[in-house]
Amino acid sequence: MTQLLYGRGIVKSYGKTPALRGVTVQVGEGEIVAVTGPSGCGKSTLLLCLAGILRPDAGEIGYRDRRIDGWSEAARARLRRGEFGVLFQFGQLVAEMPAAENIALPLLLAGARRREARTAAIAWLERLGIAHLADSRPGEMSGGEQQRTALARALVTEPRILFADEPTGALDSLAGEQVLDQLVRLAREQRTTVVLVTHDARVAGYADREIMLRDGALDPSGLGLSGLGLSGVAG
Amino acid sequence: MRPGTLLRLAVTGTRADTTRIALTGFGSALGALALLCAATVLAIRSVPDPTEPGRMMDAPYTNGLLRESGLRPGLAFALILLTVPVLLFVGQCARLGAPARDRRLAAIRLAGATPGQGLAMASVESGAATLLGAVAGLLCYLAGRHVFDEPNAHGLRPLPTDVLPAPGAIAAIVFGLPLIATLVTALLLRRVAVTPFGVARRTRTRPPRPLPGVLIVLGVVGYALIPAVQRHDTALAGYALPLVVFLGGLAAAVGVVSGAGWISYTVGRLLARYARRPAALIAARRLQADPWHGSRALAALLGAVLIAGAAAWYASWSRTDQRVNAINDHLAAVAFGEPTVVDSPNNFYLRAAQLAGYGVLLAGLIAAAGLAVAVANSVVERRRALASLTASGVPRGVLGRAVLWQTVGVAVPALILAMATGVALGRGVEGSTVGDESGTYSCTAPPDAPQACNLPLGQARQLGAKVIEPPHITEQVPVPWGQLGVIGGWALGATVLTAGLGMVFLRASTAPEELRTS
Amino acid sequence: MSLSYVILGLLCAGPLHGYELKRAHDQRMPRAKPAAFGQVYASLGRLERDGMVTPSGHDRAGGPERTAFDITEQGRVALDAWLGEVEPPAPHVTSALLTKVTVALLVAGEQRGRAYLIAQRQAHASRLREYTQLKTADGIGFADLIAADYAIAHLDADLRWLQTTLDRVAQLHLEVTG
Repeated sequence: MTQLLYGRGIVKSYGKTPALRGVTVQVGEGEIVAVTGPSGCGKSTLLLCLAGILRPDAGEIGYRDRRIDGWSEAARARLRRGEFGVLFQFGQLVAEMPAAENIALPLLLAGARRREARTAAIAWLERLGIAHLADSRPGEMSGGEQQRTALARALVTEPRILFADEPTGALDSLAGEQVLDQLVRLAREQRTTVVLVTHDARVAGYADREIMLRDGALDPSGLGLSGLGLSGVAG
Repeated sequence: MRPGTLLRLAVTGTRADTTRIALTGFGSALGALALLCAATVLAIRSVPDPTEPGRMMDAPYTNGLLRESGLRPGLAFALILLTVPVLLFVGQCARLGAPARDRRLAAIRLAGATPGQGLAMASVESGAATLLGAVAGLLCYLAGRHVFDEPNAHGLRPLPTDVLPAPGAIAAIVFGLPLIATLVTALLLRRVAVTPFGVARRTRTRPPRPLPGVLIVLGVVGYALIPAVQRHDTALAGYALPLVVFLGGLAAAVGVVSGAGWISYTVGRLLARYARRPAALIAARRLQADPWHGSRALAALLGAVLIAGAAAWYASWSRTDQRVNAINDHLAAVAFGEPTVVDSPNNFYLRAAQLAGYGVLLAGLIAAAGLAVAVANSVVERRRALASLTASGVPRGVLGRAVLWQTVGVAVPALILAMATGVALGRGVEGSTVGDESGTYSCTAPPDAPQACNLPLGQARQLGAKVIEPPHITEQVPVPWGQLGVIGGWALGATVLTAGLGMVFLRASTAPEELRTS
Repeated sequence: MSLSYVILGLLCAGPLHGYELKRAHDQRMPRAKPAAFGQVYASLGRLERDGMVTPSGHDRAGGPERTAFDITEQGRVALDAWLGEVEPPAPHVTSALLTKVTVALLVAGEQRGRAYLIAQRQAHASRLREYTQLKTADGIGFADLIAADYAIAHLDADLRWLQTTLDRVAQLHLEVTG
């Protein structure tokens, strides 16, 4: 498995509160990696750093042999728009736009025509079984439907990596399971690498491998786990 | 619930709540100040002139507007009108941080408060802020009376700092404003306070319809009737005129402000159909989703621009009127063979118009502040979605342009509508031609028919009367494009500036910290 | 003995003989331990003795004689009563996992206890992952799905307990040494 993304010795603090105290991780191509740990362990911060959204105070972040931690915000934004997809717990859709346009938005930003972008968005809605919601606004959908729309928006540009932060944290278990099922299925179909942040062992169960954090550092008791290999399910 | 508990619960909250309370207080202080000034102007009493029976002595002020009893009601009326944008500003402030307050109210309801108690808390907050503001306004007023009390060598004062409105009037202003604010808040928050589950899901509301157009037409027609009423029935005019002026103006203003809702929706629909770039599309959907946002944000500004439009027309009319009258006077003097009297140009009305202009400028500043509050608020309310968009690589420039489109898209047509309505109102009252009714003539009756001059001129001529009708000119009042352009430019500038302010908030609102879930 | 009731339930659809019963059991209870022939025949014997099932015919098509059994009215009543009964939540905490952890911590010391807990957590997590993969596989049947859900929920509960215990051990260590 070739390495696609790595973080080396990442340190990040919010004011005086340390969030990460030197974390080193590697993510291979096509892998689905869960980052787990109790709340406040720094797992969301690690995701934001790896995705180039937050700039770490110290340490290196590399993507496909390029160090990206020193890049300008504009350059990192371009990278995120082109190669990364992000999925958060809730509230990420443009509330005023119907589902199809929310999904089409990244394509429009990349310069696609309205008609093409809409066709692609509708195709995604069909793949996710919510084509009837194309013209509904987020406020008119259930939480699960909103997250599926957000998933479609994250994947519509066919990113290399999908960063998901508690994507089912605001959903009931069955709706959450449907979203996760689709996330994993689509990621495997598209050979998308996934970094999945969660505190829930059942969500982490969808991953090939688990990285455990505790108090801003790798959990020493979880280190053996990542070495367990887990029978090369990936890709 | 004890009053102390009520007050403490009413004023606890986040920074947004504090800002809202401060701004509400500020607006209320300005409003109270304007109303106190109006009451003072009305409290000036004219004393009969002992040397000339039946004539009133001028009040002892350097300013003509204050000196002459006939002009003071107009000045008071203008000051009262000035409170309209101020009150609209207070209303806009009530929206600041509204979602947070709604959640807080819902939480208090969940903790067991009755709907009445929830409502009381929200209303008392507004009431307390307005009362504080009104008291501050009163203090400023009293201090101002002291500071500006500078009679000159002749004992004339620049401002009526020697009269005080009746204590009852002062009390009515200082306590009336908070009372109105409390009642209005209670009315506006009625639905929020009743449910303990916070704000319901946002669902699609019925799109606005162009019905407010009727209100504008009503106002303009009402104003157009004013000259006719004045000519025909002076007794009726005394009672009906102020009512027509007030109701007609109000109808037109409400029509323009609520018409902005329809404009917003229509612009949004057109933009959504033809937009190519994401920024315009985002703006279009926002305009459609909440067409009343633009209307609320621009309310005070539109009110000010409407008044400014009317004032601009009035200034243009009075300039033309003065020039045409001077020419006609000259022509008449030549025809009658009298020496030409060159009047020193009477700038009084022009100065009054200029003063009105300053008032409008002040109203405009307040209105722009209201707009800034609204724009900043709309960005802060959306910060989670904005932060996630930035996280997914959407450049801030796109989001900024969306805010700009969203603001300017409504502002330009709505400002044009407000100015046009203002001009139409002014034109209704003063007419668009001057000099057409200068029916000056001289008639010398022949000795055999001494009554001839009492007959219509044609018959008088037939009876041999010597009639001299001096030539006179009539002129169309030019539309003051230049001045309207300046007004529109300022208003649009203020709008764009506040949209820029929104982008400052955008920078803070798209920080990745907004994305942390715990 | 729940196997008897499973047999009664399977017979509700029509008479079956012993071998068919074993196959039906393994098919319908995909995640359970496969039933042994001996157990199936022993249970059938007891059920026949108690009048719950009755032989309904013989079948010797090209092989040894096989007896098919049918459920009796009495059997249906008994099954119905069993289905209506709420399973009592376990009165005693009995679990091999708990017993081993307790003994490990008492006897073998903290270090050994921690090592065991971590290893156990890894085993649980990988089993949980296997069940999740099973669930996301194409064309999974409903019985398999709810069985996997059941297993995942229990593994998750165990995992949370293991983590809490690890935290408690760490805390205890701090109190003793610090």
